[in-house]
Amino acid sequence: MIIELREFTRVEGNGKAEIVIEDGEVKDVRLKIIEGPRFFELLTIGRHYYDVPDIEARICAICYLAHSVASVMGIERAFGVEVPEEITLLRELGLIGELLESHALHLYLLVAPDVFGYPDAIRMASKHGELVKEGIALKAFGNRIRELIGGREIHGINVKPGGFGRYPTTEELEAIERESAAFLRLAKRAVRLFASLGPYGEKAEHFLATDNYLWGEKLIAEDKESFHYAERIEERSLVYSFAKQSLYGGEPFFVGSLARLLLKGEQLTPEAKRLLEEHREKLSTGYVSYNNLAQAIELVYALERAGEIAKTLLDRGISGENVPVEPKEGEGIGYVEAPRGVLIHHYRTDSDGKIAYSNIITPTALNHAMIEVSLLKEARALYGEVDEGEMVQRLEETVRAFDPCISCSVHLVKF
Amino acid sequence: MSEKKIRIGFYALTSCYGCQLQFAMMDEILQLIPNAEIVCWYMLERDSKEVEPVDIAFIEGSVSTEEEVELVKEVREKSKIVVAVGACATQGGVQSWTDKPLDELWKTVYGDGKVKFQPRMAKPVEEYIKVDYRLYGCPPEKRDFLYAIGTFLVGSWPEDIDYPVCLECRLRGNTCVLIERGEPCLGPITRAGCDARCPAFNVACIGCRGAIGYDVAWFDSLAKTFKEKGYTKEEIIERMKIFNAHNPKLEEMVNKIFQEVKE
Ligand code: SF4
Ligand code: SF4
Ligand code: SF4
Repeated sequence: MIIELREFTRVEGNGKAEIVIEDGEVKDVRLKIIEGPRFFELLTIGRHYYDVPDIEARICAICYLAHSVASVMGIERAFGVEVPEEITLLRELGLIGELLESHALHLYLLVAPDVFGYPDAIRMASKHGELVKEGIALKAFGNRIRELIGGREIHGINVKPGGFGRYPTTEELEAIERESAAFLRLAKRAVRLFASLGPYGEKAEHFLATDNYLWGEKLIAEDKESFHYAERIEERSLVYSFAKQSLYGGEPFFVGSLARLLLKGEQLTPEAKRLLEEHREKLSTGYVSYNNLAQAIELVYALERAGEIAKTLLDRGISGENVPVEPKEGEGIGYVEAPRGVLIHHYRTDSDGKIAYSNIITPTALNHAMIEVSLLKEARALYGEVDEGEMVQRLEETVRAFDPCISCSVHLVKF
Repeated sequence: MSEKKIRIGFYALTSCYGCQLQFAMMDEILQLIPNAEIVCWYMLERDSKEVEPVDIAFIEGSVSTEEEVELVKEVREKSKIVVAVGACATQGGVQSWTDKPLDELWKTVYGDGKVKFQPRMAKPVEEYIKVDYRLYGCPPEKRDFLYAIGTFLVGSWPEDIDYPVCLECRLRGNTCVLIERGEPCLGPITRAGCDARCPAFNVACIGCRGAIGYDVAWFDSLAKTFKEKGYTKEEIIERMKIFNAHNPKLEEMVNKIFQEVKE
C-alpha cells in the first residue's frame, strides 16, 4: 500500500511524498519533486557571462539574491577578479535582507500556524493579529534592504560582476542602522516563541555550511576543514523526482540555519551568540525540527549584523567604485548561504567570457535525502498510532521544518 | 457595491513563485478583503487544493508538463476571467527554449534514466487556453495587480501598455546607459510600466516586461544601434530572447539588419 501525502502546502513550490507500507509496516518514503524542470544550467551554456546572474536569479523568488551573488562570485572567480571589502560587505547586507525576509515569511506565516493550531496565517490572524503584523513588518524590512542592494524586492538586477549598478546613499545606510536596532525587540520575541517547539523528525548526523557566515571560499563540515563540494559531496539522480539527491560520505546531511549556528557559532554577533548559548543544549541534539528555533536566532543575528555593516560603511564612506571585469578562460565556484542553506554555482568560462560549463546545487536538493530520512522516522513512529489525517498533518510539519523551496530544488542536474 | 464578494484563485505552473510572492507582499490585499475572497491559493492555505469556480483566476508560470496542460484547461472552464501573470505565463519565461528539442535537453540532464513525468517545452499559457488579460513583468509591479483588480472590481477592464520603457526612463531623468555607456539596454523595445526601474539603478534593462506588441517593437532598429556599439548578431538575439523566446518576429527582424550590410 502506498499512502500519498497530498501536495505540500505552505512550502514554496510543488512537491509531495509517498509513504510505502508493506505488511503493516512503513517500508520507504519518497520525496517527489513534481514541478516542471527549467533546465537552468543548460540555459546559460554558451551565453555571455553578463546576462547569466540575472537569468539565474529567476531560479527562485525567495532567494533570488543568493542566486545572483553566488553566480557573480562564481564568474568573478573564474575570471580571477577580486573585489574590495566595500563590495563584499554590501553583498552581505543584501543577503541579510534576504535572510530576514525569508525567515520572517517562514516562521511567522508558515510555521506559526502549526504552533497555534490554525490551518493558515490568514485564519491565525484573527487571534494573533499582533504576531502576524510583526512578521509582516520584519519581512518588509528585509525586502527594503533587498530592494536597495538588489534593485528590486524580487529579481532585481543591480548585483553585477565587479560591483553594482547603484550604491546606497548615506541616508539609506543610516536608515538601515536605525531600523535594524528598532526591530531587534521583535526578533527576540520570536526566539522565545519558537523555542517552545519540541523535537520531531530525525536527527542530522552531518552538517554543512560555507566557511564565512553568509558566503565563503569553500565549505566546512563538523571537522571544520574546508573543502570544495566535489571532494565530499556526491549527487545522484532519482527515478521518481525531478530533483537530484546529494550525499556526504554516503550519508544524508543538513544545510540551513541549524547547520550555520552549530558550525559557525563563534562568528555570531553578541546577542545572537548569547541566545545560541542559552539554547545550545537543545540545538546540538541535531533534531532538524529545531531549525525553526535556529532561524529565529538568526533573525537576531541578521539585524545586529545589518547594523554593524551599515555602521562600518558609514564610518569609511562609500566609494562606489566598480572593479573592471576582464573575461578569460577559467573556472570558479560561488558559495553562498541562501536563507535555507548552502547554494553553489560552479562555472567554467571560455576566453570570450562565455559559459562553457555550469552546475548549480541548491539547498533543498542538498537536504533532499535528509528530508526523506526524517519523514521515514516520523512515519514509522506515527503509523498505526494516530489516524491517517493526523499523520499526514504531522509529516507536513516535518517537511516544513526544512523550509524547503521546491522550485529551487528542481535542478537540473549536471552533465 | 454588490453584496457578493469577488472570488479569486491563484494558480502556479512551472515558475519561481515570484509572481504570487509579489501578490502576497501587497499590504493593499488586506483592503481588498471586504470585497474579495481568495478561495484558492495553495502557497498559503492548507485546505485549498482543488480548482474551484472563481471570478478571477490568476495563473503564474509557464506550461511545462502534461499535468499543467490539464490544469490550465480546468482553470479556464471554472473561471470567468483568466489573467496570465508575469513573464512565464505571458511569454514562456526565461526557461523557454525554442531551438533545442526537449528529448535532447532531457537526456543531457537526467541521462537515460527514466523519470516518470511527461515534460514539454515551456510555453505561454495562451498557447493552450484563451487568456483575458495579461500582467507583464518578472515579476509584475504591485501596481499592475492593483490596477487590474481595481478595474475588475468596478466592473471595467484594464488597458494594455503600448509604449516603451524609454519613455518612462526619459521622464524620470535617468542617464541613458545605452547612449552614454553603450550597454545593451532593451528599454526601447520593452513594454513600460516599471517606471524604468533598472536604468534608475544605472543598469541596462533586460526586457522582463516583454516586447511591446511586435508590430510596434522595433527589434531591427535597436539591433542596428547595438551593432554600431559593437555587439554581434548572436549576442543581440540572445539578449533580446531572454524574455521574448516565443516572439515570432524577433529573429527575422534582427537578421534583416545583418543581411542588408552584406549586399
Ligand atoms: S514571471 Fe518571473 S517572477 Fe513570475 S514566476 Fe516567472 S520567473 Fe518568477
Ligand atoms: S537607459 Fe535604456 S530605457 Fe533608458 S532611455 Fe536609455 S535605452 Fe531607453
Ligand atoms: S527596466 Fe526592464 S528589466 Fe527592469 S523592471 Fe523594467 S522592464 Fe524589467
